Amino acid sequence: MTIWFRVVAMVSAVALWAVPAMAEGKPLQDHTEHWNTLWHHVILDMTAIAVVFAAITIWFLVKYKRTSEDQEGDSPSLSFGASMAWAIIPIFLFLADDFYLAANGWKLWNDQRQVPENAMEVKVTASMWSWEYEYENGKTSEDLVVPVGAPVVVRGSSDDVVHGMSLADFRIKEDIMPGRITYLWFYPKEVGEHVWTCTEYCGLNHSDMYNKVVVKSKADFDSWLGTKG
Amino acid sequence: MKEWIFTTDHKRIGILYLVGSIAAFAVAGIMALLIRVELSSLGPTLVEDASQYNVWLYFHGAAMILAFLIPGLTGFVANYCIPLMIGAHDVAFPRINAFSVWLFWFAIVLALLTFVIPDPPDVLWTGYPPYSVQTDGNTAFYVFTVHLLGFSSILGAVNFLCTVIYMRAPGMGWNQLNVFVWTTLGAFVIQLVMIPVLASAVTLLLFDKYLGTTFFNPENGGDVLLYQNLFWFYSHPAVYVILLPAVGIILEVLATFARNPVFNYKVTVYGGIWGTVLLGSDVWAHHLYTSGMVDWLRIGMMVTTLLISLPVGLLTISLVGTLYKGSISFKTPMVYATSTLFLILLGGLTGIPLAMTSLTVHLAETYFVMAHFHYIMGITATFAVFAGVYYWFPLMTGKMYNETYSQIGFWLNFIGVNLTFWPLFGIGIDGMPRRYFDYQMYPEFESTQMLSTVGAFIVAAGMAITILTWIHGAILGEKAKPNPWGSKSMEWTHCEYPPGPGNFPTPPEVTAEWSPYNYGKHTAQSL
Amino acid sequence: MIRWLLIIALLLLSGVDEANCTSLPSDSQIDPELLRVDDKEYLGVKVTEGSVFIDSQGKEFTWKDLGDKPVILVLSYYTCDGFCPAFNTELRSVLERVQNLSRVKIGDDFAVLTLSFDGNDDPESAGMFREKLALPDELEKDWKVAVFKERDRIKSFTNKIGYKFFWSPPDRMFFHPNAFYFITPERRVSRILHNSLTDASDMELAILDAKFSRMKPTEIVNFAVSLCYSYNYKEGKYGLNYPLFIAFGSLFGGITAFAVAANVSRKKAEKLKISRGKGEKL
Ligand SMILES: [Cu+2]
Ligand SMILES: [Cu+2]
Repeated sequence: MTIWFRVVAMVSAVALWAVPAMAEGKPLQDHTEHWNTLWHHVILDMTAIAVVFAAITIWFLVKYKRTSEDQEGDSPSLSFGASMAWAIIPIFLFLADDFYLAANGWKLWNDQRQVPENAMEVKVTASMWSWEYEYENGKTSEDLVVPVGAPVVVRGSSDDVVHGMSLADFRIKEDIMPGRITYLWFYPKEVGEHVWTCTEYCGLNHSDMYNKVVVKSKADFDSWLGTKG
Repeated sequence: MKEWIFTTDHKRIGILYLVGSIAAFAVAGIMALLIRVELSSLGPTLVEDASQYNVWLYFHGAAMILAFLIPGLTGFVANYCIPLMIGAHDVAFPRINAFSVWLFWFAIVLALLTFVIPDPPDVLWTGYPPYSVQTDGNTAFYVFTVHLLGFSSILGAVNFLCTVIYMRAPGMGWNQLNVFVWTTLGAFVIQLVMIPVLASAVTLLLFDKYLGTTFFNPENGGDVLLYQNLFWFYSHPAVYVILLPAVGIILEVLATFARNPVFNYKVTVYGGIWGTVLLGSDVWAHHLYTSGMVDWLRIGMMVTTLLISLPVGLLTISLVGTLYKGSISFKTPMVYATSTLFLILLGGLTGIPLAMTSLTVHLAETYFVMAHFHYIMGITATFAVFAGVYYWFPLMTGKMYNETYSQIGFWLNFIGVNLTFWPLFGIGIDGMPRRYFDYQMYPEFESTQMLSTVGAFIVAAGMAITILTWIHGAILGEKAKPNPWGSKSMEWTHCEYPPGPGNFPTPPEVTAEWSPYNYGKHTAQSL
Repeated sequence: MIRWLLIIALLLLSGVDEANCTSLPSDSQIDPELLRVDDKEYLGVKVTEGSVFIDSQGKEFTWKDLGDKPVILVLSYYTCDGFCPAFNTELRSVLERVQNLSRVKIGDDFAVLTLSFDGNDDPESAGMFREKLALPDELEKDWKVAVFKERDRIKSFTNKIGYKFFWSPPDRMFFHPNAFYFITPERRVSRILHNSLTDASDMELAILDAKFSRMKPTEIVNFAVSLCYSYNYKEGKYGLNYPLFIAFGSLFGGITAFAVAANVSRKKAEKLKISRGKGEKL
């Protein structure tokens, strides 16, 4: 019976911790960092489960190797209680893990979808097989040029088929299609260059549908934005 | 020849399914090699541009899933084994069964026409509009292939559900069924309920493309995302149509070669198998985490998707538990089965971040996803089919395969697939997108791509050896002794070698203590 | 079998639709198409930037004060003696019908903002305009008629949402588009309806669309309703999302097929006297 108490206590502890975590959701300036942290946790979680299962499997395979031709298996019969325990205890353990993952996943999701108030708006139009970025002053560009240190939201739709906006370095992506408006936002922390790719199959030149994301200093960006392009 | 074409015997039909699906597997495997060679170096390698390459992608995906895995598992194994396992003389509707296998063969021919028609389909196996409507490729071939295979599957589903419900041997209760029979029932329920949705969705594609309707054209009131939802409404559960029978085969093989009953039978069946069927139909939107669907729906589906870990976890425990205190012998079927324990672990656990919407927002459409589903669906299920072929080989042919060459084939396959797909997880996390003909934006991935290509050729060698051992064994193999593995399951204990027409010399009846897992002191009651 | 069901369903469906195209009252000599907002160009645009409004009672307010709900935005000018009052009156009567359908309620689910694009309007003319609208009690509270606090912001605001208008001296009137803008709680344009004869269900669906991302679990019916329809850009109105119904039909077809086969097979099994065994209990 004590095991039951432990399981229930554990699940409720996780739930107690998870529920406020879900309710929270203040926009964070950098979901990329958050992604990397959560990814780290999940990798540890996965590895732990993998090691446990793999170790037990290997142990069984070695230990219970057949020794004589007519040897039969000797597995015990499970009583009703034991067989239920073998269902319910693992279910609670997995459930606790799922709760933990869901709560954390939810928090990150809020960061990813809540666009900061001060984000710079860039309109994007996808078509086979290129991207066009349009800034609020009407300037258009084939590369996405952004200033460092301010969140950017890219929003738009496609002229023809479904394409995918993907910024692997910033751990974010979203499809873009005709008839709907979709968006993603990111926070360029440092001056530099990144890759923007198309991640939804769109035919012949799908893999050529990429461009640069150029993060410039504020001054460089302003002078770039001022010139007609 | 004629008695094979016009056969209504479930065993021959099963073997016809096997031959057809292995043919599809071989051609789709060659496509995989072409794809791997093309990707082995930066820039165009085999062909000038992506037009050919995109057709390979289409054929590889569509044929592997629709023409190899699903018919291999629910066509071949189910047809051959289920009537033998439940003590029936045939299926409920033998002529309809023959018709299904014909439809399947027509579909294979139709799929192979991809290589001779001008403008072959280039819509992947998903056929998303508007691309599939706008392309010059012949989307109709894709649609008709889906129709034929879908119709064949629905007929099969009705047939087998009726067979298991009404034709079990006298005395055989539900808890005395082989686990494989249960997994197939689960798979067929999914097929029956869900395939019509896929069939109607692709039919509407056809109308949009050739009759000028606008079901999926937003300009005229259609909805692009609705197709994706309908497609995955079937196609995610289709993963379980593949995974469940695969797990079923693996459990049969583990039980026989560990000489143990399936661990925690009732929990495995009612919790693991039926839990997967029930939950598996509520998680399709995890394929749409980056689709632009409304935010809260995407996060809601994260919860249901994570919950899949419960029944699948029970199945995994059952797989490992079956080995406990067993008497394990490592014949070829068993090495395939035990290797899948590790493959399922790898493929299943890499599914955890992919269940989480916010992590998938980066991982979707990258090599990470691709490697994940190749492990869990492609390789695990393929190895399960191979385990099954080796396991029932003496029964089907009355002869024995060559153990040494089969083991060599296994190790080449096992090392090969891991060499092919392990490295791809890494470059996937770094951002390598799927379905790319070239990767000019990521030149640093070239060596990893090359490594993966080498792995693919090792697999190819392993597969060739494996298939040769079957052909060699079937023609020149030594005569097998009856029930060479010492199984307690009905197809081994009550049949002749190989079983003749009508299956059983005398119609079997079973007692209340009988179970296909009567190992040691176990009876049906102690499972 | 499934294919036939489909074909029959399609034949039935092919009889529907076609009718109802956009029609503007012909009191304008200008080609109305010129004044149509290119909706696809402007969907998703954010409207908030620095806008402060003054309502007909002289009270200042911003987008935030309209609450966390969708807003129907109508641009008008208050000295207009022809179309603008008519257009707003039209909206009033459509909204009365929407209220009667009682799926969405003004105040709870959305608010209305009539805004002047004419720099000469002031709270007073807004008040007169509002009076003439004769809003019933239920609409009165959450329908603001307002002007911009800073007139020089008008042009940039209308440009941003693609609303083109100009003064025609000979006619002594403004030419301008007749459009309802649906603004999400995040204050972005989610839909632009042009039809001056907009019917209540289009209005309702556009409101549901605007609040789609904010729907609560209790609004499951609204959610389902909005799934059943999709927007037709060419016709500027909503229509049934046919594939959804066809899919449901096929789902049902699959289950029926099994029921029929199970029945046939049971009879067959009985006829062949295949005993079904005694271990039937689960
Ligand atoms: Cu693309
Ligand atoms: Cu899936």
